[in-house]
Amino acid sequence: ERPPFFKTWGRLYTAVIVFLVAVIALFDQFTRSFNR
Amino acid sequence: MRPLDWLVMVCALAGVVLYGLYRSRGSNTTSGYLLANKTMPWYAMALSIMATQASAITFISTTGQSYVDGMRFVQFYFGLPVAMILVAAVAVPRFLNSGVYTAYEYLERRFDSKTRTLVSAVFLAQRGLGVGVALSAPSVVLTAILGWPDQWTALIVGIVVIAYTVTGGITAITWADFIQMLIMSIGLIVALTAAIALLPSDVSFGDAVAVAGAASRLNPVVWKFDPSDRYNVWSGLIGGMFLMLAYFGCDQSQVQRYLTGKSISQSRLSLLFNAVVKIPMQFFILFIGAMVFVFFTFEKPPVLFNNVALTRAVQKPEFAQIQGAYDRAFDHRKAAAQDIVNARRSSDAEAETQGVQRFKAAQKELDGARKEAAHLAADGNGTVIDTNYIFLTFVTKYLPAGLVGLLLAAIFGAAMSVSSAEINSLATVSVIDVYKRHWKSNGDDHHYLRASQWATAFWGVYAVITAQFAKNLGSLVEAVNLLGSFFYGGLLGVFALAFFFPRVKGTAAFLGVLGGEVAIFATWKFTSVAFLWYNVVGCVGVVSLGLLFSLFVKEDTKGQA
Repeated sequence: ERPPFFKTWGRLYTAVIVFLVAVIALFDQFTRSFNR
Repeated sequence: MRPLDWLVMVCALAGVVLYGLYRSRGSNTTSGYLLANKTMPWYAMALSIMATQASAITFISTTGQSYVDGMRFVQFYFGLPVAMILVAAVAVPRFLNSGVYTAYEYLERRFDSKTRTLVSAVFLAQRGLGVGVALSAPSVVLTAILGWPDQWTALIVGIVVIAYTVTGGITAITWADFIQMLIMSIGLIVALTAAIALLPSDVSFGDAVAVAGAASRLNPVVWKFDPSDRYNVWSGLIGGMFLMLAYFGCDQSQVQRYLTGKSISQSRLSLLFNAVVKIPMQFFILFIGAMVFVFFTFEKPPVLFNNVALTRAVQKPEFAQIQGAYDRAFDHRKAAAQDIVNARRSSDAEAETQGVQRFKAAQKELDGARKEAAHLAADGNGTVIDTNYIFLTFVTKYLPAGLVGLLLAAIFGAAMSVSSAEINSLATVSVIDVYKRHWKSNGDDHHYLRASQWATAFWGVYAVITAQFAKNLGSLVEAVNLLGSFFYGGLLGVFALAFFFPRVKGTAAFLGVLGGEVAIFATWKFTSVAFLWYNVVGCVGVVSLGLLFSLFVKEDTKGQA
């Protein structure tokens, strides 16, 4: 069965990994901007 | 607690239970009772999975942790999305296609009965000893803050949990979790809004972030690797991933959530939802803790938030000196925070930097006074844990009527969702992996439905009784958790063998598990690496030893899947 919004499960898994990397990058930026 | 708080709390919790019971009408087969007849949509499973992981103590102590140590705790969850993908891709189709009730039942189909018996016995022992803690932990904290008799709190919550888990089975639990997570989400938004709204009128949100940053509380990313500290990016990504793999892939209290899915894709989506939402949610909870910290920079908190410990400390003659040092440090810190705010008003970067330096120095003095007070309160008996009392002190003392009731409903709801999942999974393993497998394998469906209901009632009563003793068994519970962390990695290893190495059969896997456990004990005995890494050692040990033994052990492969 195909997942919603994505052609294959592999693409959905890849999207989740990209999301994780983006979140870590965002948190890193947050730390650099505000933590002293 | 004002009348409006009681009204909100009772209505919210009654809503949770009644909705769960309403949705579970007519589940009168074993499959309906234990697996919801495999009819669950992804969103119900997703919220149930999250509710099962978030206990009352998670909710209370995560905010407190951020207050005393900053937001770096969030990194513990960085490995979770990767683990969710692996569980969704590998474990979900195998479990669902094989039609099992428990993860351990799958092990017998793949290996043999001795591996299944060993693993399910470990699960029953470990979860069984810990099942009372989910009920007792929040009641201990509420006793200290609200003065409620803690025996009664655990007893009443326990009876409510037994009522809907025995009556409605997993369908009631899943839908009750669904509502509970909605209440918890509203509670979190309310708590953050309140923490910011209650700041002095001249302190803006931007100022609050600057003050929290000055205290080094806004540190959700730490790149420096340290194997004895679990809160950095690498420990989270690698160690956290192995822990989450074991928890979501091999622990029946989680596996049973997604075994109820109406299809493989629905179960997968529930795990992937968790993969995307969990880290932002933890960030949000930790950010609340950082804002509560800023609130208590301008509003004076007690030296210790744990009332019981503070009362003990106050009676000592040395306390007056500590209180004096604490008062001075608080005043210095507040003045420094005000300087930071004023410097931001006049865009004076130099003055802001000086303010930050003075703030840090005052914070150090204040931490020192708190540490001495805690030492005084402990009086040589272990340590005083103050972290769990911070958030609830803020909620009960400063939030307006009605909202206190809402947040207490969220905390009780969290305790209910965790203990209901544990009771339900313990009953399932007791009936499917023990009773049906070893005692009576020829009963009809109605017989096993009744057995499941009785087993649920048994574990529920057992949880309530052990909750009464849990606070006196602190060191026993710690020992059980220590032992549990020894077995988690081995458990993961045996499932890795089952999924990825078809050439490894029953006896080699069994010997691999035993060998892997020896490796973990050796790690504990001879090294100082953090607990988080035991799972990695155990998993790698079991897989490599299982493969090694499979070269030498002659197996009888009849009847293996």
